Amino acid sequence: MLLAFALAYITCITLCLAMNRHFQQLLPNQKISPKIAMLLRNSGWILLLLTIIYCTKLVGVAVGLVLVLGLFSAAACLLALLLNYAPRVALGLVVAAPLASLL
Amino acid sequence: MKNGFRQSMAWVHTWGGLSVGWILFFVFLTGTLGYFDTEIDRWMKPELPKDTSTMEQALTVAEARLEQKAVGAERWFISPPTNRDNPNLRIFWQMPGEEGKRGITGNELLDSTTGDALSGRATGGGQTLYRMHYALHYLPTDVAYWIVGICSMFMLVAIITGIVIHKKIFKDFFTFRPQKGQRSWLDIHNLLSVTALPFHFMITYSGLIFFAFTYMPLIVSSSYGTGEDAEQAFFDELFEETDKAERANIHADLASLSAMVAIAQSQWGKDQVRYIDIANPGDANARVSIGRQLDSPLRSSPELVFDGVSGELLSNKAAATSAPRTVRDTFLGLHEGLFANITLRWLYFLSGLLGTAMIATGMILWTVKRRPAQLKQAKGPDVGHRLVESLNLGTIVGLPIAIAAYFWANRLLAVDFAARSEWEVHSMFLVWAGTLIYSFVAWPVVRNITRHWIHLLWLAAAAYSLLPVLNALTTDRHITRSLINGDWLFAAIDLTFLVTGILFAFTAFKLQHRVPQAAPKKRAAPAANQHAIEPDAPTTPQEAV
Repeated sequence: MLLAFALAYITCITLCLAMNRHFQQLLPNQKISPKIAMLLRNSGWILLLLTIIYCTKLVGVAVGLVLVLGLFSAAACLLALLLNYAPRVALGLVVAAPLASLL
Repeated sequence: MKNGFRQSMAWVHTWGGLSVGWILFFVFLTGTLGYFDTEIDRWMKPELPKDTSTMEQALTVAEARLEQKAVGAERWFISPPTNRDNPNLRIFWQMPGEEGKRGITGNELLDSTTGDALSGRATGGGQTLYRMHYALHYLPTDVAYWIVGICSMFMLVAIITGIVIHKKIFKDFFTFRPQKGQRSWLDIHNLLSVTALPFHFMITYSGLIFFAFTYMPLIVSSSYGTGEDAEQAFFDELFEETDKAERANIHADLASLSAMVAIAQSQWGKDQVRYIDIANPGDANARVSIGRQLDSPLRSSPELVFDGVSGELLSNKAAATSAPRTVRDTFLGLHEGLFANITLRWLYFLSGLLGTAMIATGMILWTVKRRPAQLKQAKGPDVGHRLVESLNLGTIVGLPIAIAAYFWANRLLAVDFAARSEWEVHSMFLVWAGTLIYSFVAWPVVRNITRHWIHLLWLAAAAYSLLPVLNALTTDRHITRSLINGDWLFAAIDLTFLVTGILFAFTAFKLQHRVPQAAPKKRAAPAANQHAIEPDAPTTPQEAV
């Protein structure tokens, strides 16, 4: 379940990084090239698909879809707050969340 | 539409949302608590021990009690304590009625180890809070259904117009710019709305489906005619049991229920039996239907049907019947979330809080946007503006305080006080009335309404963070003991109260420490700096979650 959340969160942050304004918030010292932005955006959508597939494998299609929506609400709200108040934590969670799910 | 489509929609969104916002806030908050209704029930009856009986014990106790209470019944219904929705053994019975009428019914909660009826203090529990979100309180149910229904329709309109007027749903998906007055309130309102949009839509739409027959009676009337008899005929046909066994009126003993349950368990797995439904117990034509736990949004269980006398397995009934019925059941199931395990249940709870906060921020945004111009008026803000300011404060902070009062009353009212469950609710509404009155005291001084926000926020902080203390003083289930015993239900509820209290305190503190900076600017340059005159209204605790 925690891995599912980690996947949803990483999906959100990937899509988020693909946007100039948020990229600046997370990595203020770097510039994003259009190529990287495109790459991030596409990876984000692929990750989104993977999250959906993982959740439906985990608990079945019907409950899985409900779970995906709930997880994305939680992950997106968390990320939007972290972007402003703790951008480093936002980046740190990319590593920490999947690690925590392995424990 | 002289102002164009989007502006018209913005108008509908603003005024439609505002006019029913306070009731919607009430509905969303009490409904959200409903996702933990049985957990709250148990917290409010702290005397009751956790049920640790086996299925065998539960069945023996249930059957013995039903034989005692309801011989010759048309139906017995046993819900063993095998899921969160049923923490204790529950029995229900229905006696045969006279020609076409429903017979007398009864139900009891039992201790499945001793067989005694469960006592514990009288309390409304989580069920009463949950019921309020669609039946309100102090009102005839029909009236309440209509009020909630009309508000929900406004909600649905607000959701759809909200999507129309939001120009950059994807581009601003993660956008929240704090400390920018009105802009920040719009950002947070959008964030709360968009990130949980599927939930908001689902919950509103499915809420309407629950009472579709009430809201759209003419569709039924066109085929069945009007009047109560016609309505009854429609429901009988709609919910008719297709293979109902007719009574033979010959006595025959019921076969062993535990043998049938064992068959069901061998097919589905242990703890998968949700209920045992016995038609015509003690009759030669007895039928026993055993239902499985809900494991998907579809709101009905697959059943195994047994012959009640021979104990033979007759058929395997699928959960889904007709397509329209399946669609309806799925929507209702999604709304109730009975299938949700603990993780998904918390996500449901969180989504509900996001919805509650969405409504709150929308209403705060309305005042923040208009406050500067209103304060500039020579004769002060308009009556309408003052009304909204006061109702916002008295509802957005007042209602959470009132709900805390409901829990306080549960612990403080004498256990043997006869009308205690009624007075729990009265306490809640009296406190709410109190906070509303306090908000209306702010009526003449809208300029300083932030002070009133701070006071009520501190009150809310105290009301919630002291609940675990009160619990420790009045019961033997204090938080350290719950944690040591691994009683997660009690521990989690106490901790949730504590966290809620801390969030209220944090909001109050933040707001308090912004006021001194904003206040002098207010007097110095009311017109020059639009943002300076907006006291940064507080975030509700729900947002902070």
